[in-house]
This record gives sequence, structure tokens and C-alpha cells, in this order.
Amino acid sequence: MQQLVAARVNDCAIKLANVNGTGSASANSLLMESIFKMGIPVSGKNLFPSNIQGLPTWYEIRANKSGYTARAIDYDLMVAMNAQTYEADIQEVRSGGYVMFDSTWPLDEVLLRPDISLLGIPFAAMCNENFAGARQRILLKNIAYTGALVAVLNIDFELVGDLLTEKFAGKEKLRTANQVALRLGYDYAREHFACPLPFHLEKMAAAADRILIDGNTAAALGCVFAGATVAAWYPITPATSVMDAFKRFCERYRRDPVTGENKYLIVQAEDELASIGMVIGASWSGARAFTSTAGPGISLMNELLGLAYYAEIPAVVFDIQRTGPSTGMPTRTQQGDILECAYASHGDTKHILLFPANPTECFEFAVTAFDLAEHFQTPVMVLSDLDIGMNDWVVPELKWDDSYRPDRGRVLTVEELEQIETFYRYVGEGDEHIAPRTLPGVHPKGAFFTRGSGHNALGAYTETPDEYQEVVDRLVLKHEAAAHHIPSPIVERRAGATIGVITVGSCDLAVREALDLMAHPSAGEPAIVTDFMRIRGFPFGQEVRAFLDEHEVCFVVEQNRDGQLRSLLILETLTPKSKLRSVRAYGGFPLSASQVTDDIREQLGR
Amino acid sequence: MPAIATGANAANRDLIYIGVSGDGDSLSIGLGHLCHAIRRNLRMVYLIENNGVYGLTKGQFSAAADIGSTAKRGEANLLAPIDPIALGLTLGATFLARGFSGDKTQLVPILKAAIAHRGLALVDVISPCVTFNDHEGSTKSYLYTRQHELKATEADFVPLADEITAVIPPTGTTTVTMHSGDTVQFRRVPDGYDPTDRERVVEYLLERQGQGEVVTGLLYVDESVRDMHELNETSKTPLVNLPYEDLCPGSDELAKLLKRFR
Ligand SMILES: Cc1ncc(C[n+]2csc(CCOP(=O)(O)OP(=O)(O)O)c2C)c(N)n1
Ligand SMILES: [Mg+2]
Repeated sequence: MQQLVAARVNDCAIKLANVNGTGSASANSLLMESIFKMGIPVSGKNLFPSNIQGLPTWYEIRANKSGYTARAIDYDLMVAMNAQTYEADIQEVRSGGYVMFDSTWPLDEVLLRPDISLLGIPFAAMCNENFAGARQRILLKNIAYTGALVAVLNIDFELVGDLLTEKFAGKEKLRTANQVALRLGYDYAREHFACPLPFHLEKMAAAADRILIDGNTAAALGCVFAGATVAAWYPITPATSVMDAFKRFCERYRRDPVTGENKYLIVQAEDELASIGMVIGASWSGARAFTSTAGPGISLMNELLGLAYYAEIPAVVFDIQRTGPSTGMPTRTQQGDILECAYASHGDTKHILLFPANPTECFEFAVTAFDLAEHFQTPVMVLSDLDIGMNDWVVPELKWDDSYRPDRGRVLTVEELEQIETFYRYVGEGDEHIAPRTLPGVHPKGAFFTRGSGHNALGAYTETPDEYQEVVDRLVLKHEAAAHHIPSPIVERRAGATIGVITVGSCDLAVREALDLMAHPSAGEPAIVTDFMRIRGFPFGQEVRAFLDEHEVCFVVEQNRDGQLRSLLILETLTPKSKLRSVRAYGGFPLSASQVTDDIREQLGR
Repeated sequence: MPAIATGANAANRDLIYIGVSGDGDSLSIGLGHLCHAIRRNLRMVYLIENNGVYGLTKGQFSAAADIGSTAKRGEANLLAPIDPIALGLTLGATFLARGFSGDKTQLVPILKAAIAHRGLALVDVISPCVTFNDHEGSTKSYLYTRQHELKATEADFVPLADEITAVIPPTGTTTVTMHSGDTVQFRRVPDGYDPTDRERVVEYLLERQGQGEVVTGLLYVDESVRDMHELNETSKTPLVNLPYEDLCPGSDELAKLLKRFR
């Protein structure tokens, strides 16, 4: 019984099942890049293991002309290149879908499904025949299946060829071998199957000013443009590529062409205690400094984050969240550090958080983070995640306004210091309650003792309740004042909606798609019309409170077990707990729309 | 502490950095940071006020306590001590000195030399804790230190500007010129002690410490090693003083760069 799928153009989901360490990653991103270059909105999600070689790894590509590029979990085509996972992979294909596999070896009959079609191609035999050397044969198998996909999906063959040429520029032998492999797969598919398949791709003009970039690269670029000069870090997945990119950009933009001098300093620290210490030291001196880490690093940084909070020293921290607790699943995504970051450190502490949802916001919020950290003299944590940070996203080209100048906050100048009688460090000003600071080495009058121990408004040591409270109470007011400077939430209202859906960070695309699906359901399902709000920072501002007040019920969609954003909303606003319902997905893979619609429909009973 | 100093120094290389820490903080909770600051040859003076105990938390043994040294209540330390000087020698430290808080004449020139040093100057100052570690049986007491101190060197610090007026040094001295141009002159107390010969220094210290002696003085110095900024080739102008216009590539560069992401 073979079911045929209806013809669909530029709307399909493909999953590639590979073995880690066999070179499939570059073939898969080549495919994704080709589809991007055809102008089609596309996403690529790398679902990889915490392992160097041998474990299963998957790559998912979703192309969608309407821009729905969140993770799809029903696949039109499975490229099953890993015998270890055949069974599960074949089960994941949607009814009427296709499985492409290496037919050098026969497929076990028990794995066959009557409702899917098989595209068997003898990739291994093909590569053994045409290429020498075990490693080369394994690598080129990936390019051969790329060629076959180019044929069945109607991807622009020339375009893929050009990309390969570019990639192997100057490596003639490799280039030729890759081109041959591409052609082998392509020709075989054309000869043996009806190409293209009913769902396939065609060039579009939609993504003309678009770029393909991952969030960590964009964040690093933001740090360069923000004028960061000192960076300290300790390697950790999925944050490492922030520093790799920062280093690359600094080598390009921050090395004096004449003297060879570096206008930056990156320290690979001995641990995260040290890396945050270095950031605090550099920021105390007046430099823009940052670190990038993941949950385990934030755990270690807790003590010094409290120092920066209490001694009022700027610090910018990128937390590229991964699956916790403890080591957890290092190569899987999650939004599990929200509460940890909001209140990092012992005692009464509260931090400023920014929640980017895509690489564009990673770039922009990097700049915002430095401005806020210096303006409010406090740590600012940017909570990205593995999905945003390490996957390539199609986003509008990043823009830079040359009139931008950093907000360095209230830093007393030599002239100002000369005017005043005596400088006292912790005297708050105006309605933002910020206490002007001085930088070391600028003027003797600006000297003071920076302390993490109890201090009064004058900066002197204290153990007196009133004096101590005066300072920590001001810190609360200062934190509240920051709400006016936090990027405001993205709110979308639909006529007649009484239900609100609130989300954060990388849930964005899946939630938007889910809301569209619920508002315009397929036949037989009742429509559910909802308003949408994506929170972009903490402390919460007036718009967040207003949205909560306006709706009888709000669903909070997030990627952690405990509903951390929901908890933070309950703690930090007057919203009754009963009003906030939780929708959570926390298995480690990026969110997909159907997870959201299924959960909301079930909770509403419709 | 050294991590924060690293950041501060990274941002502003023009200032002088002096860090003061305890033996507990330096040799236990902060040991990793001390080691790596030494490896980076961060330009700073790292002073350990070494009393062999955790004073603030009321007298627990620190990692600097010698085997057999007793606490105030009589119990003996059973674990091997970490000697910051020996540690420094294995980590490639470039300036190692030990002083005694009871001997200002020796300590002051050491501190001056430490400030002039191009890199991390580790100064271990035996500083008996009069409350928790100055009793009989302790090897970090005033009495013990006075009775067992062995000066390996006595140093004079001669600032560059004063060179001409300086007293002519007595014979038997070694002169080390600091990176700044200042000089340190050592009077070698034990015959043949050479503070620039690392292997000999290691040997000498092990031998003397084995006898229960506390060797003091400027014990080792190497001015030839590059500091953190020299290794990084950081701009001579401190990073904090670079104008923003020098740091931001601007919109044209961004557009150029993003062509590669199209
Ligand atoms: C993270 C942390 N753990 C424990 C303490 C408690 N504590 C304060 S001082 C100290 C020991 C300090 O010993 P040392 O560095 O030798 O200094 P001393 O008091 O002897 O001068 C400890 C354990 C602390 N302040 N912070
Ligand atoms: Mg001590």
C-alpha cells in the first residue's frame, strides 16, 4: 500500500541520520547552504552527541516558503546512513514519505513500512569503486548522498558545484574528487527514480538580504562592535565558538597593521572562577570585558557574580545554555539557567538578563549588554542557547549604526573629581539610583577601597544594620530602574483573543508557528486564537505586566522541566500563580510547533 | 585575587598591581589561580602574608603548615606543606622572595625590587599570627623564625635615578638589572649563592629546608621572560585608553564581512 504525498514546493523536512565523526557535518551544511542560496527560508539543526566519533548524529533541514523554520518532527525524507539507528529513523518518517539508504547492503525486511517509499542507492559500492583509501571513501559517501538529494529535491546542481569549488579552492585533487562524488549520487538518482519527488524545491527571491549565521558568531561580532577589549573564558560546549569567533574577528579588526600590536587581550583562564574574576578586574579598570560560558560555568561563577553585584562592577556574561543539571547533556539545548542566572550568588542578588531569540538579537543584545552593564554597574547575563548559538540561522543582514557610542555610565572624570571635596563611592543619584564610580589610576581623589564585605554609602566597612541596608536597598531600586532599559517584549495581539501565550528565546519560531496553526487549524479542529508575547529581558517592565493583566489565562512556553520563566514571572510580578499555565519541552532538542499545539490543546480540552 | 588582578592588568598595563593574600587563600582555595598567574607572568607583586594558619576562621592549619607543627590546642599537622617558593620554581616563576615580617630592613628592598620586576613577583612573607600561631611547637612563630632563619641573600634596591649617588656596594655582590633599568644588588650571604641559577636555587632550598631552616631573601630572579602583555603583543597604550573609534570596525566593514555570510 503506497501512499503518495501531494506535490509541495518549498515546504519539506529532511532528516539525515549519520555516524559522528564520518565527515557528514560538512556535507549537511553544504546542503543547507545551497537551499539558503536558492532564496528559500530554511533551517538546519545539528543534533549531535557529546562524543568525537562513533555515536549517532542527526541533521535536520526544514525548508519553508512561509518562513516556518522551527524544528519539524515529521519528516518527508529520511537519509538513513547509520545502520545502528535504522529502526528508529525509519519510524520517524511521515506516512507517504521516503527513506534514502545505502543499498550496498540489503535493508532488513522487518524495518520496512508499507506506507513509505525507499530510495536505495549503493553509496558504499559506488565510492569503493571510484575512490581509494578508507577515509576518503567514507568522506565522499556524504557528498554522494548530497548529489542524490540534489537530484530528488531539485536543488540547483550548479550552485552546489560552485560551493564545492569555493570550499576546496587551491586543493585541486579534493575538489575533483568531491565533484565526482556529487555527480555519482546525482546521476544514480536521476537514472533510477522519478526526479524530483512530489515535494521539492524551487528558487525563490524571498531571502535576498538574508544571511546565514550562527548565534555565537553573531554574539562575538556584537562584542567587537561594542568595543570589548578584554575577554576571558574557559572552554565549554556550546559556548566555545563565541570566543573562537571573537578571536578571529579581533585578528582581523584589532591588530594594528603597522605595529602589529593587538587592541584586545583574550585570556584562556584556568577555570570559570578565574574567567569571571578577570572580567570583573578588567571592567573595574574601565575596559569592556566579557566571558562566554554554559551552565556549569555559571555555577562556578556564582560567588564572584555576587562581588560584582555588591561592589557594583560591570560584567558581561554570555551563557549559551545546554541541558543540565550537572554535566547533563552537553550537546543538547535547554533554557534551564533562567533562575540560576536571575539570582546568581548567595545573599540577596538580582541580575539583569537578556534573552536573545536568534543570531540578530545575539548581535544586538551583545551591545545592549555592555551598555546596561556599564550604565547600571552590574553583571548582565545574555542567555542564549545551543540551538541559537551553534546552528546556522537565516536572518536579515545585520545592521550597524555608525552614530552609536557606548554608554559608559556615570564615571567621574578628572575634572569632576577636581571639583568635588571628597569622593564617596556608594552614594546613589537620581531616580536610577546609580552611584558614580571612578576608575583606578585616573585621579588620587577617586581612590577608594572596593570591597565585597559590608559597606556603607560612603564606601567604608560597616556592620551596622542601617548602613548596610541603605546600600542593599538602593541596589533593589537600581535593579528596578533597569526595567526601563531592557529590550521590550515582542507582543502580537489578535482580535478576540483572551488567552495569552508567553515565551522566551529560541522557542520563538516554534511558538509563532503553533499559534498560527491553532488560529487556522486543519479541518475538524476548533480554532484557538491567542495573543503572543516574547520576553526579551529581566527585570520585567510595564509591558510584561500589562500583558499578564490583560489575559485571563497565559501559557508560558519554555524549554526546561520546572517552568523557570513561569516561576520568575510569579516571583517578580503580582500575577496569581493559577493564571499561568506551563508548556514545557526539555528533552534537549529544539522545540517544534506541534509540541506546543498538542500541549495547549490538551490543557484546554479542545 | 590574581584573577581579578589579571583582568585589571589586562585592561590597564600602566598601573602597578600589588596583591596581598593569605597562605590559606593562596595555597588552598586560590592555589589554581596563583599557579596560572605565575605561568602567565602577570606583572604584579603577589604578597603572601604567611602565618601557617587560617587566622580569620580561628586557627585551622593551612597548606603552609609544616608536618609536625602544632596548633594552639596541641594537635600536630600531618600533611605535607606546600612551599610557595618551591612551587614557583617548578612553575617557571620569574621572581621569588621570602621575607619575615619581623625584619623590615630585609623586606623593604625586596618589595621595591618586586615592584620593579617585569612579571609576577611572588613574595612569601612569614608573618606569625600572634593569636593563633605564635606558640611553642609552631614552625611559623616569631621565635622559630628568628632561630631558624637563614638569609640566602641581602638585597639593595637601586632605582635608576639614584644610581650615581648610590653607595658603592661591598665586594661579593651580584647585580641584577631590572627591566625598568633599576638594579638590585645582592650580597651573597652563603658563599656561592646565585639567585639567577634556578637549578642551584632548587637544590639549595631543598637542602636547607630539610634542616628545618627558613631561607629568606630574594631567592630567584629572571628578568628575561616576557610578561603577559609582551606575550600577547598588546598595544602599548593601555586597552582602557583606546578610543572607541579605534575599536569599532564600522558599518562598511560589517557589510563587507557579511558578504561571506550571504
Ligand atoms: C568561599 C569562601 N569559603 C570560606 C571562607 C571563609 N574564610 C574566610 S578567611 C579564610 C581563611 C583565610 O586564611 P588565610 O588566607 O591564611 O588568611 P589569614 O586569616 O590567616 O590571614 C576562610 C576559609 C570564605 N570567606 N569564602
Ligand atoms: Mg593564614
